[in-house]
Amino acid sequence: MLEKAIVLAGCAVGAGLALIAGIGPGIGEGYAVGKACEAIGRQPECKGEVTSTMLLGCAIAETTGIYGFVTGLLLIFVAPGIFLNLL
Amino acid sequence: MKISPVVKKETARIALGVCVLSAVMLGIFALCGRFDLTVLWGALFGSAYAITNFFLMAYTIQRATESKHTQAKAKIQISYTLRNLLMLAVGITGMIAPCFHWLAVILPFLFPRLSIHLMHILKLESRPVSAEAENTAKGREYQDE
Repeated sequence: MLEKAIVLAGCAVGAGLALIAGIGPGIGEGYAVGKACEAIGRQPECKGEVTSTMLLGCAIAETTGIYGFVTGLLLIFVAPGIFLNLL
Repeated sequence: MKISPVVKKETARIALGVCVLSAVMLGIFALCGRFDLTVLWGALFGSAYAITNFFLMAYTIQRATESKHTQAKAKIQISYTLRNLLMLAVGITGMIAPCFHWLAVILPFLFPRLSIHLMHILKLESRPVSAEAENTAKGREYQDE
């Protein structure tokens, strides 16, 4: 019983820690877009190119948060079953 | 607000990449002998979310670039939070609902990044800065600064 509780608690704590990865991309994207606005303000002709490059950059940055999210989901829904079978 | 051609173009490219990678994923499921209707529905659900997420991000960026620097930051951060909540809802639905295979729902979340890398490897990406823009008077002035 105690082992089961420890496994479940570990999975829950791990999922919570994995979701911390979601904080960084939000801050980073906001910073990047802020700088892009400055760049477009200085050089409005480049708006299309800046937006296009930034879209791909933001998509890549966002995936870091998605990794954490997927890890968290796996720890909550999949891992407990696997670990409890091992006990 | 009108959707800019850049957003439409990039979303179309990412959607194409996600569809191709989803087809590859379904093929791998079929090769492993695990293909059934839940995998198909899961792949459709996950891919639809991945494309919608990219479009929402692109649209927010388009709106943010038309606003002030500080407002742009806030808009993107709010949008990111809301999209994360949507992703949480989609992910949990994919895990819990019996009509979806959980792996087929989760994997397409990562396909936009994979398709960007694949397009980069296959040299299919658009040029980041056009020569026309580089040669404008304002551009040269900015570079001189």
